[in-house]
Amino acid sequence: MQLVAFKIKNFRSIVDIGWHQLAHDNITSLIGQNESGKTSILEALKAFHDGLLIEDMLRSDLSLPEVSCKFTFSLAEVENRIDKRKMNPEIRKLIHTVEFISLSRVWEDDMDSHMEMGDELQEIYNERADQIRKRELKVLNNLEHLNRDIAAASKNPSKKNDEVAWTAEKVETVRNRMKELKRNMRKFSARDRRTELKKELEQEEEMLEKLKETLLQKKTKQEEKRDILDALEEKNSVSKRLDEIREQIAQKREELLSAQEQLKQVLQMTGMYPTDKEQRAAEIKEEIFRDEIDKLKSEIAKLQEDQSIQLLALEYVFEGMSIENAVQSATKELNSGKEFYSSTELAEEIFKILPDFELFEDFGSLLPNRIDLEDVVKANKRAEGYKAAINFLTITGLDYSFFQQPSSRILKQKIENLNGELTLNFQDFWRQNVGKNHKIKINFELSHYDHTNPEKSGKPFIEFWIKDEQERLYPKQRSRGVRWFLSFFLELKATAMDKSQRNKVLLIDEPGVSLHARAQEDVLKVFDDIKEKIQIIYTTHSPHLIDVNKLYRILAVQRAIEDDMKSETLVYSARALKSATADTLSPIYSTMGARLSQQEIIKSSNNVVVKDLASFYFLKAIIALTGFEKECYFLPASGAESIPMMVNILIGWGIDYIILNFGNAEERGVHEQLRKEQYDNKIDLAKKQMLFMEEYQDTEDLFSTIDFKKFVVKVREGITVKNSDYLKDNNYSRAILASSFLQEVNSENVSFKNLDDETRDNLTHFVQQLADMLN
Amino acid sequence: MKESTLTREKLLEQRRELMASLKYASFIQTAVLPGQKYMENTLKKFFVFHMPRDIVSGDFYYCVRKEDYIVVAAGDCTGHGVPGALMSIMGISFLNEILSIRGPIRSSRILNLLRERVMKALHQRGYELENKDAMDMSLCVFHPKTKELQYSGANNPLFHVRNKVLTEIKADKMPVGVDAIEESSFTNHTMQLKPGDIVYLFSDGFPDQFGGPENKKFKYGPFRELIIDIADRSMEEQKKELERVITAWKGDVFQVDDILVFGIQFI
Repeated sequence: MQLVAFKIKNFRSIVDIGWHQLAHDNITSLIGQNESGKTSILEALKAFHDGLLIEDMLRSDLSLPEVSCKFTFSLAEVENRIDKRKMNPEIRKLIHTVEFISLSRVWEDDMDSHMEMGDELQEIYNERADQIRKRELKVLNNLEHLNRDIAAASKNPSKKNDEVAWTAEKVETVRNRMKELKRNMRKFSARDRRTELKKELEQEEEMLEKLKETLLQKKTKQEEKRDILDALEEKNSVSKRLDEIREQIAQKREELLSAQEQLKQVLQMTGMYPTDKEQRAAEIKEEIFRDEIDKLKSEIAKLQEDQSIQLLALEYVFEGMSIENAVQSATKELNSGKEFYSSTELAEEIFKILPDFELFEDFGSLLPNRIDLEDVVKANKRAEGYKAAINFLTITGLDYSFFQQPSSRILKQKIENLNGELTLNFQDFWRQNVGKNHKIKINFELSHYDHTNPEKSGKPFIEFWIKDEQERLYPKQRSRGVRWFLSFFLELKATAMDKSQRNKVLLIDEPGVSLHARAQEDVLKVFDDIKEKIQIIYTTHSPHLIDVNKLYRILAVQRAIEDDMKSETLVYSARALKSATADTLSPIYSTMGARLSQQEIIKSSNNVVVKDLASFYFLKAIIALTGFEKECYFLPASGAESIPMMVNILIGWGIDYIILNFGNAEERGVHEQLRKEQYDNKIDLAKKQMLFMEEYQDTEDLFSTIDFKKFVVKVREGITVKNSDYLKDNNYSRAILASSFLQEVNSENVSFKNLDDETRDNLTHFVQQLADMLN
Repeated sequence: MKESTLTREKLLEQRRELMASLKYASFIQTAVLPGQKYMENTLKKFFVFHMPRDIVSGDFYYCVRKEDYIVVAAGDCTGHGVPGALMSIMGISFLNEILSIRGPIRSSRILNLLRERVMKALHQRGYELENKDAMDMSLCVFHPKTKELQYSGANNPLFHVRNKVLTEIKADKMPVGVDAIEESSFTNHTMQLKPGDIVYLFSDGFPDQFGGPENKKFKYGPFRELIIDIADRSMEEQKKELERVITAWKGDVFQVDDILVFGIQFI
């Protein structure tokens, strides 16, 4: 996998620089003034890799950083290293169609971070998340209705109860009346009176039946309502559980914030404690807070999972499932989602096969005079020269146990041997890469602090020396150039020994800043030498660290408002260098002399780079013949192979240009080379700056054979090959013929109306395409 | 056997051999001309009235479908008989070659490129005493979708008939080959055809044929009248009528040149 582009958001002075491509040949240089943000880019890329963020990397508004990197990838590699069964089928399908894969590291409030898949695959995850969100919203909406129903149902039962009691009372009244009527019937013997009473009794009986029926109906309704209320309240129990979880989450979040705040305070004090004891105490505190934060995060994650289960369960409950079954189904569904990688899980898996990013900078990567063995053992990355020392130990194959050797004589001998071996290796590296012999020797020794350093008295440390024929000096006593080269050698050697088989991206801040000009050019030579194995991104101010023939390697970094260090950082690719300020581009100008765009021969825009002088003459004639109205400046190269060089120069000076190529083999080759180097094979982008007249072999092929015979070569023999081939086959001088033709055109001996339809059509078509590309 | 009889036998033998050779040459010439089936598939409604003076002919017709276009031509090479036939085979081969290379399909361009090839093949550079062999030709490019017809002519005009009205499109007065004056591009005429329109490509053989009561040339005026007269008939009938008329006109008079009339009704 190879890093091809990066995007950084909210990192120091960077707000959002958008995607930026790296040079296709693995060497990318970041140029720009001091404080422009070059080093921030390297640090952001390093932070992408190791996730380590320190507070001063945050922007003043504390917006959280996000660093994304895009990689080429081999499908086989991804599929070999990742459990395919755990890959969502949609993702698996999509991954077969994409050319690049991007990952983003997103930081959170507690400076912790997680990885996410980039835009290519994230859409699928977003879609799934959207679906879940929609379901949750629906459930929440249903919950609202439920609460309203419960409130309504809770009101009605008392009314219903009253109605039932009232009807029952009425039944009782009627019964009593009937009893009285029956008694009266027995009392009275008069026939008329008895008939009257009987009739009344029948009416009361009828009334009683009706009331009984009403009572029964009211009781049934009352029971039904009670059932509904019971069911609503059952559902409500799930909702109540949700409320509880929410409260718990809120509480845990508060605790988390408090722990994070306390950790922040501890971290702010790190390195400022006067004694080791206080420092150690602070470290213990840091560890406790980190554990606490981890614990709280895991509790919150668990609660959130429970919350999701309850929400899903409620959905099922609303669909009519029992609570028990609903919870079971929800748990099952949630677990079934877990069988596939989440965006973060997949990103973390893919991350394992990404290239390693190593930052090579002055403080950690330059060989120190000495380093405490304790710092090495405890992997104290904050110790000066820690990385260089670790590189050193990696190369020599040493670990802590080596220094436990009881016999000091044996230890001394072993060290002696290793020193010899390392020195030879370094001298060889120097000779191979810089092409010269160097007599310096590298030495390391194991020593112990004495009483002059009471805090560390008796503790072991490794001491480094650089010796030459005259003297033995600490690394810091040697020139920074030698120290830098030596440390860089250690870095490369250690990287080469890494058996992880992951590609490497080496981020180098100001390489060889103290080297003299010639040695800086040697650094560039070393980069070119290793670029097949290691991708390099480096910052520089030095013109000697810029290859003028390869300006496509440049990314210019500057502030949005020049000299305003509060304004955001902007990045310009090689194609957009003309937008960068003169100060930003000063290393390029230093290598090239004056700024060409400020003189009058070549204009700042509408320049057209062409193959040679003959093409130049033909094209000038064509422009004159067609009455082309746009301003257009043809710049002849000295052959097709010189076009890339010319383009480089124009990039360097920030001059707008178009490259005009015809379909012959040389120009086709140049066209393809430039498309790859300058435009990363992006055809649409290349088409904006490269006019490729592929159907014509050369400029003169724009003319019909008849016009070519009549006005250019002035012969009458039959020509059955392309005009350009005819010139070659008959050893004509293109330049002389083209120049004469231009003179004929300029002296109006040839005009557009003299040309035949075929030539006129070809020229019109050509100038139209040219006009479309010019300003 | 008498000597005179021997000589006669020898001459007869030579004649037999020559005829066999010419017949074989005719077979080869026929093979390079477009086949009947191919033409039927490509043109649908057409006729070719081809009456060589000898067994082989200096007149030839051409038909090919190239991308979205149909290219047709009627050529008349210098001379007749074997030399004309050789030139015609050369012409057909060159046309095939031109239409096989990339480039815009334009009638004038095809004739221009053909002229380059003829000049190169015959080493013509415009010098006074050099070989002046060439060919006259009518060449059309038809685009069936747009119904646009392009025509370029080297000395031979094109007749276009619509509703019994004949329009003659004049040819450029130069041959496909070297000429007295410096070569210039052939004119590319374009016209929009309508259903039922017929175009006629032809050599000068028909109008130049001697015959009739005063043994004069048939001439272009009567030829035009004849075409107008027969234009509303079927292709087959037109061909038969042309044959009938020229045979009657010629009578016993010797055929002076190859005769070719190529009629096409584009649908």
